[in-house]
Amino acid sequence: MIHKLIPSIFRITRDIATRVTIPKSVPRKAPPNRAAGSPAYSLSGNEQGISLTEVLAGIVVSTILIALAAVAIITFFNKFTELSHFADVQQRAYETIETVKYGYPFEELDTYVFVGIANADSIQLQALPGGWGRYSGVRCIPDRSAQGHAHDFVRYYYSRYDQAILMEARHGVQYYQQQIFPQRGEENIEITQFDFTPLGGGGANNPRVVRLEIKAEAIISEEKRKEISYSTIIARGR
Amino acid sequence: MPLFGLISNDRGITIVEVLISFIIIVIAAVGIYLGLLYADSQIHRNYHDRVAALHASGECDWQYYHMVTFREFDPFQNKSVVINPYTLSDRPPLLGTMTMEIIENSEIVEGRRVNFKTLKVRVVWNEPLTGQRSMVMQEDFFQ
Repeated sequence: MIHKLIPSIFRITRDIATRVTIPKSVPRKAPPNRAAGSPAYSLSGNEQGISLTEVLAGIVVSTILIALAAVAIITFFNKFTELSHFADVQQRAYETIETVKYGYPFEELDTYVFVGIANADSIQLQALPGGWGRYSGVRCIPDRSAQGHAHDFVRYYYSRYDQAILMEARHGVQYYQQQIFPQRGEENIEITQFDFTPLGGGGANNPRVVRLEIKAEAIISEEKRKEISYSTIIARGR
Repeated sequence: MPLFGLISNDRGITIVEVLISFIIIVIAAVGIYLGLLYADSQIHRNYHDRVAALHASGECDWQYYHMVTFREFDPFQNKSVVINPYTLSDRPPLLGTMTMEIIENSEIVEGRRVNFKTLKVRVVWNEPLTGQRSMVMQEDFFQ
């Protein structure tokens, strides 16, 4: 069977001899000028192929270029994420201090009423259960002289269950409860401290001035965190 | 050059072209890296500005409390404040200095001269990479 598929050496020689026999009367075609790179004999007609050295050189150069680009892109995105989270936690913590100080805005007809420490009639610092005596909440009593506002209050406190700073309030007949920092869905922020300290010799019951400290961490990855630490003094204005 | 010209061009690329490509990629990578360094520095500077602003506004509140309660300011000079504790890194804490200044002022309101004191609180610190930086807050106290 095999001898039928593979012709003998004599047969091959005879075939070659037959093929290379060119009659003198037939004009020969000019060979393509590959060095010139003319469109007629371009890559599609180029049957020279590429050598192993060229392949290896191409692979090495491509690998270096791709590795450089990959490292640059990964570094860029990692750093961008880190800076973005860090900027977020800074801004959100600062806004929280502003809210506790100047007040949460309650809509009232065509205006807003703000109730915070700075504009409260009285405040009371609150130690939360398991808080080791630290004050992690403040209850602000605003001006209650207006009709229908005799029971108004605003409370800003740290909830260990939610691991967040919450606001609960009563304004008129409305009751509010809202998570203010971090907002729901902001899983990459963790609060590590939210403490009030009475200053000026006052106690927890209606101090005129308090120190507020907030510490929070932006969770960049499992191993990497960035912390912010804010501290300020807030005086009750009334 | 027409598209079919590029496709059919089998001259390859020279070592000079490869080196130029390398240089362009390296310049782009360095540019991105410098941009990230600048953004990092800017975000830390913003953070330090916020911390200093809270220290200064807190001191204004304390002086307000002192003035309302005791009818006088609580003067001090060169109080040390922590700008960045760097608790999660090995770096030493970044400290600043807070000073206060009281300036006697007056202005004419409806034909009457009104005297008041201006409290100026300044927080100064050495910002890494950019040098000294300061935050000033002032508040007027009418008598």
